[in-house]
Amino acid sequence: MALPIEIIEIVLLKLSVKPLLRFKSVSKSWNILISDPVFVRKHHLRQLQSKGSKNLFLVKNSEVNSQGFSLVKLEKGRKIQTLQQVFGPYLWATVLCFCEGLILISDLSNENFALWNPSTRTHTIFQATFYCGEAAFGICHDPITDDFKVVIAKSYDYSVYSCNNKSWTMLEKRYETEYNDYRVEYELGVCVDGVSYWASKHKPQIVYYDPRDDKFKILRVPENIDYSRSDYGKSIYLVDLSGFLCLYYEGHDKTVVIWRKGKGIENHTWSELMTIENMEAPLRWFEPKYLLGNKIVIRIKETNHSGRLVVYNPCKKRFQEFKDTKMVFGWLGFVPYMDTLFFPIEKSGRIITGEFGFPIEK
Amino acid sequence: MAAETGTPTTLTLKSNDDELFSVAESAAILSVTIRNMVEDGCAGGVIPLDNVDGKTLASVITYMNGISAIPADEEKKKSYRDKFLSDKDFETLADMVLAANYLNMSCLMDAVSAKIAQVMEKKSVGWVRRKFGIENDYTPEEEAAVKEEHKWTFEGVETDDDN
Repeated sequence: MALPIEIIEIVLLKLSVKPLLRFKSVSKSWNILISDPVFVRKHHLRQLQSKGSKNLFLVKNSEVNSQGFSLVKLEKGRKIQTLQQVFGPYLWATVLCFCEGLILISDLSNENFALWNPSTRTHTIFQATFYCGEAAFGICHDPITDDFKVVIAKSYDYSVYSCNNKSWTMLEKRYETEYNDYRVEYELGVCVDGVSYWASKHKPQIVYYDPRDDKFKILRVPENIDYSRSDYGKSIYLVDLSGFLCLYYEGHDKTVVIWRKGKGIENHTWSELMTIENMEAPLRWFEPKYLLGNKIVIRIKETNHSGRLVVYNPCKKRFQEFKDTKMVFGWLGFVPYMDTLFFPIEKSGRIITGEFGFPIEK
Repeated sequence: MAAETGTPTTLTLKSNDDELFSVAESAAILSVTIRNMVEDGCAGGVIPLDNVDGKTLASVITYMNGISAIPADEEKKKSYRDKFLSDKDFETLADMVLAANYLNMSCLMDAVSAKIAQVMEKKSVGWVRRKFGIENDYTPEEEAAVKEEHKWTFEGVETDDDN
């Protein structure tokens, strides 16, 4: 059955990355189509739109000496299905930020960084020539130039790596105003609408890096938030829920209040999304992660190396455990996953797959 | 508009192998191509659909009637589409995607192309070439190089002797 190429394209846009890469072998014209940046972009946008319904996450494997992640799917009936093993660029790694299918990851030295696309298994490595302790990390996607930028923000200055330029376009640049305004300390960026957001440790304030004009800015938080500050940790926390930037904080009487920002960089309006009652763990160990229908999936850390998933039903005000998941995952080991062919740096000698003496395949 | 001008509410569609089908206008205008013909007043007699054979058209009309009988409930429409496509083989799906494209029916186009993609997900390169009628224009060396580059994507592929 010969289908015209326009229809083949419509079909291929609905495939996931693994068969798409496999079908580059079908013929030269299929290879050209699947490799075409326009096709890659269309596929990327489609995946971005449907990301909220795929329920896919990467979970850092807990075994010692495992550089792997498990790709898991949250399913109905509070089950976690493991789909496959995915291997990252570092043996011991810290996931620093997730943005549109790309993961910023560092090794333990905090000097070596990689941008990694786990769905194509491509990554590129770059080095920081400066000290990155206590830094805040983020990835931004400039909608105008289509450039992906890695932002490393410290107390007094910040650095920006541009994937388009394959270099640091800003190195330890001083903030324009009083550093305290933007200070976020060690914090992982939450990337929404191509912008990286961080919650300040010291006051209920959100700082973001706008990739369009390369400036740090302050995002106003809702005026009437009424948080009860605990002695430990921060007052407000950020999370991406279904593509919306959300903030949450501990309210009174063991509640967690979640607010949602309107869609779009310029939209700074907040509305209350949900109040979780009967919170059982301290807020710093309690991480709303994902909206599953009208319920919310929460990761509860037990120690730095283990945790469990529960789902909260706001109508019934009830928590339920995920089933059959003696899934232990450590700090930061639960990352959203988006299947995309997109990688911001064109193939070059710097793309390394399967080196460092560990297998890239199972 | 149809009611005002007194156009009958049943249309007659003709496939390219001269089969005639009666279908309610309200269902048939899910196809933008047919709707345009109706609006242009070309639908008085028989509407010839030169790119669709009788077997496929019968199937499309079953879909038109089925989906238009469901009130505005996206969940129910989706489950109807899933069920409607569940027993279709690749050849039928390919005919339907061509028909949906020709008839300009975006909901059917979306559903059928997604179904074809779903069928393809674990298929081999050879299966795709056979089913899509694609000639392998790689030299053996080129093909080996492309395969080597994406070696991991060949894990878990279904064996080739199925349909």
